[in-house]
Amino acid sequence: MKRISLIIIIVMLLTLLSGCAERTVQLSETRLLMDTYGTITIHGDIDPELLDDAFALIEELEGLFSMTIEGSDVWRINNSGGEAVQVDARTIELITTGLEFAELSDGMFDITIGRLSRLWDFGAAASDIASLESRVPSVLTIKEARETINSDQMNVAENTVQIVNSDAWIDLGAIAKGFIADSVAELLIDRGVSGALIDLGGDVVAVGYRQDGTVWRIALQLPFGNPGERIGVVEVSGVAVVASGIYERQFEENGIIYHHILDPTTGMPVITDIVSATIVAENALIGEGLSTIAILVGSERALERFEQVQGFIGAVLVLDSGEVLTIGDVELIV
Amino acid sequence: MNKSERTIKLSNRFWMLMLGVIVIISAIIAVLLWRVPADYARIYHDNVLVDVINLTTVTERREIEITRDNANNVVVIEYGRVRMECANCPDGICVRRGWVSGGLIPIVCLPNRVVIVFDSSDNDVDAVVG
Ligand SMILES: [Zn+2]
Repeated sequence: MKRISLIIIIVMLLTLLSGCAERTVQLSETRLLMDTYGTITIHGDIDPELLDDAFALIEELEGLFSMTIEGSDVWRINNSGGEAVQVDARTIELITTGLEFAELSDGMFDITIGRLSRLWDFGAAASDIASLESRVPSVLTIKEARETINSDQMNVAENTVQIVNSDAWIDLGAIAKGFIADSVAELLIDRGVSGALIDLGGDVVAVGYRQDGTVWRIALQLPFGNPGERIGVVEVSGVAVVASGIYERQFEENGIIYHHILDPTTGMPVITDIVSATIVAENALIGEGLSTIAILVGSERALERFEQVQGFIGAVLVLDSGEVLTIGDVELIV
Repeated sequence: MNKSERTIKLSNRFWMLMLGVIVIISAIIAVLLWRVPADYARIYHDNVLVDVINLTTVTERREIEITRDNANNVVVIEYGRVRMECANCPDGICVRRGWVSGGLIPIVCLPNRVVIVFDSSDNDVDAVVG
């Protein structure tokens, strides 16, 4: 008896000391996506193929929403010559949300901005840029592109989408990543993860808790700072954290900084008092839409409106004055 | 003290000794397991692992050249840090990033599909946004 109890004690000690008590595993993987990188971390009693399935879902959705992949839903809509195009139900869902954002922002956020965003081409290769006299498009081409922007020309039916003006293009780039991050979170929850963190280049969805049972800690990048330099941390569980900034994709010409968030009314980078906007929301789609809208409409209107938006939880806005404003239910731990 | 009592005493001492040894051994194993080197850099090309480097054991400067498809990137490794020394990508973002010694933000060369990810256990956050 004595021996048996001793053996039990020893086994227990060994188990404790070597940390074998944890029966679940944690897996994490970073992969390049179409125009950014993504890291997915999962833990729980999980199927080893789950991460592959998650990245495959991302690729599938990129194949629907990309403006540049030939044959994608968006590509087919843009090249339809004004005809109605049959598309995936998820494309309908994303476009419908995009049109709601247009309403919420008084037309400042407009998915029919495709011609204009293509014209500015912030992702252009240096070799292409070198041959240009200026990276800033001409007044005339901006005017032409601007005239094609109008959400009212879109007809969205049960499974078809039509842009009446055949010259107009849609660009879902400002919200697609959010939708994709949410879809991945849904897949992971369906497949039984205990917790997960989906990080698609600045769009984060936190599912459950960390493996140690504590909340997920998300750092907010200091605008114009070194990568990883932060203004503070938010602690979250079961929500999305999404940030947009005017410093992310930009270029300088003749002493003027041109950033990638375009004002559909002027065709130029929007003049704004917000340098970066981080949104905490029930899902990443709302988070991503509102983070761009904040920069488009400015801090005053964001303060007025965001708390009435369904799914909005909180926001951290960094202003051009350096001031940090918070709205709603968010605590920035400095 | 009769013989059988002595046997019990001896046997007790033996087990105490055994217990002590086992505790020490498991403590050593636990310490070794917990001290998993924290600073690995993993280099990927087109999402395929090319190389894994333990940055804490690098003794001299080392260059790793990635020449695949149209990509031509040169990664330089030193003790505790990594940088993209040159790349034939059109934007040069990866080279401008400079030396990186860890953290959650990988060195990324999007045009050439090269990514360098850091495994650091000392991160106090899980992600960085913005
Ligand atoms: Zn590069």
